[in-house]
Amino acid sequence: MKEKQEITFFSKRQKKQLSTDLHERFGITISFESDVILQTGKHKLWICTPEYEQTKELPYRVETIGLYFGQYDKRSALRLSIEGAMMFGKDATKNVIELDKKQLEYWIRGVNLDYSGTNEGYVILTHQGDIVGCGKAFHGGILNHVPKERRIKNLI
Amino acid sequence: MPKQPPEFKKGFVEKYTTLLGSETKMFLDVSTTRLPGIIRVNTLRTRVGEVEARLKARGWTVKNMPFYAPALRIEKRDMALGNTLEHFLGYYYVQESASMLPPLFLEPQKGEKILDTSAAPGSKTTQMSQMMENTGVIYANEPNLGRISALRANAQRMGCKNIVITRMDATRMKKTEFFDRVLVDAPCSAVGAIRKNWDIIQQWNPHMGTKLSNLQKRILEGGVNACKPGGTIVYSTCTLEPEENEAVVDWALQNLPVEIETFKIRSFKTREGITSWENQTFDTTLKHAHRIYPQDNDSEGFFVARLIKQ
Repeated sequence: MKEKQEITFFSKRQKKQLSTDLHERFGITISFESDVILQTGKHKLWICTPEYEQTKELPYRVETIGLYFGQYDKRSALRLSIEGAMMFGKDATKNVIELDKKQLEYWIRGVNLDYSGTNEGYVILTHQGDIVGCGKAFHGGILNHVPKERRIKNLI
Repeated sequence: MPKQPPEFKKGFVEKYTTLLGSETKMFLDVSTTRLPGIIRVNTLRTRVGEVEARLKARGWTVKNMPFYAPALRIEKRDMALGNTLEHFLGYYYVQESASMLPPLFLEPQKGEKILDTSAAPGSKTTQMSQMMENTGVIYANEPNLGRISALRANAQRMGCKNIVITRMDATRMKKTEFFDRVLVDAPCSAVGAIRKNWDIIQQWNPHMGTKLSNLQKRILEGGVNACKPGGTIVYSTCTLEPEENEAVVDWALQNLPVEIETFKIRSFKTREGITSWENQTFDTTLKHAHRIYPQDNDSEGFFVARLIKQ
């Protein structure tokens, strides 16, 4: 975490709300009871193991805690990171879109996809059993959120 | 990498002739060959057999490595290991085989608290995360801000939720005696990594080892300070210079509350640590440290010693 960056550790109530959001959007049933969930900066969400609690008082300068799994956007909708989609998405029952080979290549290249379906909002993207990320579907397309440093131009 | 390796310096050849005798030519020859492609399957995400099958389906030749089940050797491939969907999804990490040894020597267990004093770019940190099945907590320390982004990106891609990244000067770690195990994979002259970067041949000079050993001793002391009594500390480097290896551990045995512990690794040839160098005589238990020469396993060169804090 950057210095002076505000960190909020989620309370039981906030964790429950997160579970509700995941269930409502993707049909995922998950409890974060034992995990440490925190929010930093622009609504970025992180998950860490319960053992972190025992280390909080160590006199170390902390940069990041755990795994970045998503963030709430300006409309408070939950967008999952690639890892968030992989971690929770295997149990998703709705708002999941299967990509074909060509779409997958575009997706990993960082390109927005054409989309003619009816889903709107955040969707989990899959390809032949692999969960490959989460994008925002709108009428006519899916917005790409693959980070620049992660993109592959010539996927084989 | 240039097509032809630069010539080894005279002092370098003399030094390694003292260490290796008639094997020196083989050591120098192997040191200028390219490393084989080795990956570590991320068992947090998938199974070894699954990745093996997927890569074979691409027409690649994939072989298991008996010393560690998640390690696969890719002998024939048609593209860079970092350009696949499997790499994008964090199903594997490109990691040299000898570099997988320090975590195997440390043996991190599920639920434990681990410190990695010099963690970037994160190959050993993420390996420990998978050995711990994403439980417990690993404090992955990296003093260099510029290297933290690579550490963060790799921990993220591999899906590790048990990693906390810190930016500390490891030489100043206070006596917290908190961690169950500590990995001190110290910055070094990287003689063992010449196969990865031939520039190291030109960068080497006879005084490097002595200069670096002071820093290495202080980092090791920081690691010992952070480890709880009875805990395990692994000291490792990717160099073969005695000044940075046995001399550092010998200093620790004399000045810190640690003892060296025997440890064996199956199916990976290692050689005993040396017990004397130039005018110095080291503690006889240094023979329980491990030297890994590139010619023995077609790998990088490494040094690993396992210590127990009293």
